[in-house]
Amino acid sequence: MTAPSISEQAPAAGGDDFRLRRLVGPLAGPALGLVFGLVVIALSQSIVEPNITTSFSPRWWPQSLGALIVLLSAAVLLKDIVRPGDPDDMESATRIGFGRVAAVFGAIAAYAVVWYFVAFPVATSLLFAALIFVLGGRGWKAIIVFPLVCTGVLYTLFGLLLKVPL
Amino acid sequence: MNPVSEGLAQIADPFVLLCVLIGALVGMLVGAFPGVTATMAVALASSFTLTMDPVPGLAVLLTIYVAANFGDRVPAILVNTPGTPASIATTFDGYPMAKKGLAGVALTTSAFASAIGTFAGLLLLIFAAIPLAKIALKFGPAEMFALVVFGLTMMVGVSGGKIGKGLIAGAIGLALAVVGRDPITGTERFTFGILELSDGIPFIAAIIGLFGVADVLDQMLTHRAEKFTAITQFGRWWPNRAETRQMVKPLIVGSGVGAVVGAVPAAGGDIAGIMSWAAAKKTSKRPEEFGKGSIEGLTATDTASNATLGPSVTTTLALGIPGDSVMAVLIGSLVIWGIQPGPSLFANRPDLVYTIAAIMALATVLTLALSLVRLRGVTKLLELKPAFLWTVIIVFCMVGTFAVNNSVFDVGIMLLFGIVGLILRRTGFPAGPVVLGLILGKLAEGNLRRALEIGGVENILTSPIAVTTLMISAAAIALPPLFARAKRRKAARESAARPTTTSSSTTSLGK
Repeated sequence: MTAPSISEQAPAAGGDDFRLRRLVGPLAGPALGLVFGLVVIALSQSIVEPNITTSFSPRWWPQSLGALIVLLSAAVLLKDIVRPGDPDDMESATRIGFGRVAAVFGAIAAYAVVWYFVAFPVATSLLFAALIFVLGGRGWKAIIVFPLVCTGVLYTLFGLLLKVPL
Repeated sequence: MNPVSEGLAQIADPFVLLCVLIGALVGMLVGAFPGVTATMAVALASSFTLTMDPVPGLAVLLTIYVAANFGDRVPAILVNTPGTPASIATTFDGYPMAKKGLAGVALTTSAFASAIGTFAGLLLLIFAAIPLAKIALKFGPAEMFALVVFGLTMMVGVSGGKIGKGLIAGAIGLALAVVGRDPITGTERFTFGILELSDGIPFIAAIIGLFGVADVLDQMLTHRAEKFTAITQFGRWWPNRAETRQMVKPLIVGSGVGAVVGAVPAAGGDIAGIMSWAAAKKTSKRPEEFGKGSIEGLTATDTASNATLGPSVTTTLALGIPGDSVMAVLIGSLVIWGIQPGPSLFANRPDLVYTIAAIMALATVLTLALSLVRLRGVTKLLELKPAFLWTVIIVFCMVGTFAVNNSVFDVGIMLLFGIVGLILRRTGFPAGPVVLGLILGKLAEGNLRRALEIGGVENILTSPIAVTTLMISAAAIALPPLFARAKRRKAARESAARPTTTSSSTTSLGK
């Protein structure tokens, strides 16, 4: 006799909608793997064949890897559909969390533009202040002093000591 | 000059000693902050050290590696949160000890156990590295390919649970390593006409993205405002005579387990700590105290997880297969310095074994001394708001990546890999095999193609070393699910048998 699978226990916890939600999360990974494998195979076709003749074309290894990724992803996908396992043990993302990540990338994009026009210390101080603000830091010490100190450390370390052209 | 004195002479330079001191301070701090892993710190530090000579650079990176494995015990003991994954098992007995008013004893015990464990592991590095490299020097393409497969499958096998996803992650890493020139013909592959990609994906940028940025983004995504209460009553600091006596057996058990686990490619301190805790419990006269504040449990875990460091460096440098994720990063730095890890390294430069061992020994002594400074201030450090930590890590990652090649393109790759790492994490793929695949990809492809061109599949199948290594690799993938299945079946049988027993006993009572 085998242990009752999770799929057998799941309906009691909320019906079809619950089962669907339980499936979508775990299936996203192998589905992405499947797409990645197919892209690798497709891109391998565009590799130019060299003039030197060898037993193995430069396409052989990426094509084999693409096929391996497709096969493994399909197997995991199938297994997760037929017999869903325990959900991954990870903390769930929050709505605020998505906002934080988007704001951070927004600040970095703005930094790339600002750095083009002003010197590194100014742009980087502004980036520090912006990141601290969007991540929840408040007060003059957090928004002004902390960015200035950190920028000073960075500039001394990279610009002055390591002679990186910032 | 013999290799020993030549190796030791290299660390007599005051600049190298300064690098060890800086590495020790940084490593302790890194370890003490939950959320900043040793891998992340070494990846970040490698952007600084690339401009240095190899020995001072190694002094910084290896000392961070050693010191982070001391510092991470502090939050594990004081706030029940491992500073890095290697100190997961420290929480089993460290925090209960602290709750019993023995935080000071737990911190001191942990520091000594960690130091003794590190020294035990270093013995393996000193005595096994050169013979291992000499054996591996006889390996041909078939054996080297088998070794790469072994490294990848071990990382997947020990990463726990999701073997299917681990294998996919490893294959994705191998596919990413295809970017650049073909190792045999030099044909460009997947470069899309971008000049910067012709040498492959910038490795340091990718690693900083996968381990540094992705980690921080994940924390931002999942962070919820919660306040932990740190232990503030430290009690006495030194173990008494009876407690010191209790430490002897777990020190031996931990050193043995750590040395064996550390020598397995990709198995790190987290696994060694847990295995050693279980082994020490079995051999203890007081197993019932384990998990409730046992000094034996704490000693066994911390000795074992630090005893993995030396063997891990041995595997990495003697075979070219990373012993753990920190070593994967270190390989990237070594390659940029023009040092190719692998069998020929220690065979040609045996002095490097002693330089590395001396750096790690010095780092251990220094970190032990720092650990014994009363750590009351650390609890204040743990109250730092994550916003500051995240900001510093993100900006340092960006500037550090830029500094490697003075390239904005690298920063873009780093951020891209940050997002890729986040997606991998959120979809349940481990990042370790991706990095390992990325590092070992060219080695795997080059050796496999050479082996097949020399003598076809028979070339691999007639090599006893290659066949044995591949069989162990297959077992590492196949056995854990089979064992888990057998365990589940056994548990199901037992739970099915239990109600019957209960009902029959109830019936008999009724009679």
